[in-house]
Amino acid sequence: MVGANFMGLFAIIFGPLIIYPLAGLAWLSIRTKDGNVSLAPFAHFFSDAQSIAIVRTSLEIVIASAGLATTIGVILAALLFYLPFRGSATLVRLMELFVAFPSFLVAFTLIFLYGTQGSVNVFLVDSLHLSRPPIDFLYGFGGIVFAQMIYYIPFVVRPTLTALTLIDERVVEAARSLGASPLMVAWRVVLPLALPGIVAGSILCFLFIMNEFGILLVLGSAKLVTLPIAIYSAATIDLDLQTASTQAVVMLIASLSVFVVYRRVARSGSRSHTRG
Amino acid sequence: MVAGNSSRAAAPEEHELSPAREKGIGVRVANLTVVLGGRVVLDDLSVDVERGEFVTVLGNSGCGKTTLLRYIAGFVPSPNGKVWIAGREVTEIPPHRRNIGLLYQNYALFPHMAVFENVAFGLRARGVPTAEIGPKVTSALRSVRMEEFERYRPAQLSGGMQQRIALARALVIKPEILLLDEPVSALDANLRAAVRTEIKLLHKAMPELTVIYVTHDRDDALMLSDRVMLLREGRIAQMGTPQELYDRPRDRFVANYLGLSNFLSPAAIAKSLPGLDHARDEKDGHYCIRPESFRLDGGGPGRLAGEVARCEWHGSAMLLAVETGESGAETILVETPRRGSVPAPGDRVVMSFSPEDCVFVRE
Amino acid sequence: MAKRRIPWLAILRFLTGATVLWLFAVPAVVVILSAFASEWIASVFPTSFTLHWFNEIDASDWAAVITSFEVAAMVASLGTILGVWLALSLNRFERRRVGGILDALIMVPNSVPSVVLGLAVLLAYHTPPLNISSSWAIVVLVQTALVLPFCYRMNAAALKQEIPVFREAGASLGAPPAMVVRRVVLPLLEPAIRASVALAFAFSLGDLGATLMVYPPGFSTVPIVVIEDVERGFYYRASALALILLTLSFASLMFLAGRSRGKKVAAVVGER
Repeated sequence: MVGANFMGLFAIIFGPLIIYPLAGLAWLSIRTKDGNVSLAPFAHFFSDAQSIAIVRTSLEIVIASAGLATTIGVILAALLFYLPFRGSATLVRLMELFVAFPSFLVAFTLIFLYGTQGSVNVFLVDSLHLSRPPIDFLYGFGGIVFAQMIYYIPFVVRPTLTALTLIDERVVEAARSLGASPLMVAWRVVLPLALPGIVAGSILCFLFIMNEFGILLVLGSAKLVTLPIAIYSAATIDLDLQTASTQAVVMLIASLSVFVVYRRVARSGSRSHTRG
Repeated sequence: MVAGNSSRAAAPEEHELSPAREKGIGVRVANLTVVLGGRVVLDDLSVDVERGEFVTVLGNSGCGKTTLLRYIAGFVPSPNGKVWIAGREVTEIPPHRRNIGLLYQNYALFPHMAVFENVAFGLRARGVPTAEIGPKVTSALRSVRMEEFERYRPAQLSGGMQQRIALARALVIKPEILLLDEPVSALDANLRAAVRTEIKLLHKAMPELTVIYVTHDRDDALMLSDRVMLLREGRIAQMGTPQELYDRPRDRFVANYLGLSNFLSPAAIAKSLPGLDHARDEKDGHYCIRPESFRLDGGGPGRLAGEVARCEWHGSAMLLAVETGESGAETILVETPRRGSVPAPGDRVVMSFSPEDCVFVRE
Repeated sequence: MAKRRIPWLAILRFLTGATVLWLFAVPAVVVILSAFASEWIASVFPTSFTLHWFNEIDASDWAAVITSFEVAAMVASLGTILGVWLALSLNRFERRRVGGILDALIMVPNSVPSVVLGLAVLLAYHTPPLNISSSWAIVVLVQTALVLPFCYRMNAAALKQEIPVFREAGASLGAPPAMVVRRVVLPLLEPAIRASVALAFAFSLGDLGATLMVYPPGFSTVPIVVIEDVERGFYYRASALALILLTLSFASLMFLAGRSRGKKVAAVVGER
């Protein structure tokens, strides 16, 4: 009975939705143009200057976005947790609901705000009497990083808040009663205890930013090609499924590696909590 | 008499398996070993419980008592253990066909069902016709005095009320055995005594029902049980009636678990009570004397002198810590009623005792 | 002489609130304003408002809205059903190695880029005998794969935490496993099921990457139309459509999931 259930699971879920497509992708990626099986496409990919530039751009964007999102997210979470005010609970709920906002739409709204004719620029030009709109980074590296940072901050705030809630208040109180200043408590008690959750959240944030597409599509340009855009162009515009699948497998392996790291960190973090 | 006690205490490990008595087997467990997470939780445990018997499984946390209970219920696997319920071997039978009643520590009432539905659940599972379910549920609730609360949700009831509902739910299906997992541990002292009495009365009203009651509290064991099974690290330390465990503990662990005790070396006893069996060496063990066995009016043959160090009031009696032996090396706890003159710290007293009060226990 | 103390804490509180509002409320405000704006150039706020853009939405765009809705409904139902099935099946394996591997496998679609998954699904299903690349089925399939990890996770978490003791209680009372699932587990899973349906629905409505890779000719969803409009410079019309999309998403979150999820985290913050 259990066996039949599992066969059903594999036949309906694991097989058609996950294993079969990804296996097919991997299969195609190692076929050369004349149909032979080899790793030549990958070799070609890693030796091609253009591909390497694409990978480097993608990495730079991801690291910058994830770094900013993590830093600001952790600070924001700490502020929300330790300095509550009337309405801060509603704000957190607002952040939770933000997950329904598609990422490409966020990028789109930024055009209205930070584009050359956008509200913020108009406001700054008018009030500071500038000759040119000061904010002009939207369609480049800065804009993409900014948009991704905005969209993914909640992904860091949420696990950080959870990590902070899980800290036993009495431990913090004990530290205060022993005479520790708030800074010392934060640095020596709260941060170490919350760190596993924070690290897990930031790795997850890194992973999600790696997989982001919509923002890149809206704000990207011909000069700023990233790997997901390259895959998309190769497949739908150039109709070169072979190249696309090679690039896709490179992304697949990168993503899965980060995912494995995330699981390790999340597992060990939760274990240390349940031990208490 | 002391020799008789000690010979029992000195007997080798004996399993409590005995031939089935007239009433039949309520629960039998044979050679149960359970290993969880690399740790041996139960070690080759075998026990017989008579039908209708009330057995308390006693022990500290981690001794395996809850695991034993869950094994009998069928939720813990074991590679080689066997279990019988009401004479029927159920080792391979899943929990829902064992006809058991299980009471959880936090009651586990279904939060999404009203009280009536909770109690009716077991009856529905057995395919009892709808027409009969109503009267059975009402009668079960009446037996725990909760019949007005049929339409309430568990969340609207207090802990004590929820527990009674859980009891009704378990008993309405007329199980062969009732398994209780620390039912009074979370209650305050007054409520605990009341619930214990209720459980005892319930058991009296159902003499065919075998009850296995898991607890760490010795008062539960002393008050409720026909027999007590004291577990230690997965093995039976001693099993017998509460009186047997209290008056004739087999070793120091049992003695300490069942109540306050004093342990006197054979040499010290030899000095104070001539005529006792002196062939004992301190390496084998000590003599255990309960605090209430000492008298301060010089009544018994044995005598020990000392100075009162502390006086503690324990409600109905006073507990004195008396220093005795060479330069006050040993402290004896003596229980004495509050009536009459009670010694104060600094007084010198003579404690007398009788040979019947001394039990030789191993370490 | 008393020194005027700078209210650092109050300033920090204000900054926090302002930052959160700016980052997370303003985008929605922008969409609303631009959807109703008739002119918004060289000014901080629109200078005049109109319903013009909504009237400009023609039949094909409405078809995209309806398609988005239908696909989302299918994906949400399918994803939840499969997710609950997976959660129930894998519940017994929580400690063993097999369970960990399967759990990781389920999370894979969540940990790879949507375009990669889209490409993989396209490759797998565009040749006979498994050719569904010319129908909406391929879109439903790829989006179901995307939401499956969420749906599984939510239900598996509820099963692992609150429900085991009630499953046992049901079994101890004599109910066979099927009856326990029907009368105890599923009712108790209701909050998780609702949350998973709502989240899958919102996620499907807003998906771009995977849908762009697999969608058949003639097929359109709101994100696709919005992107096309943005690329052609029709910003206001894009906003109008996007507002419809947002309204549907938020409505599903509020209606289906109720107040439980957001409130849990919010309650934590409020309790302090």
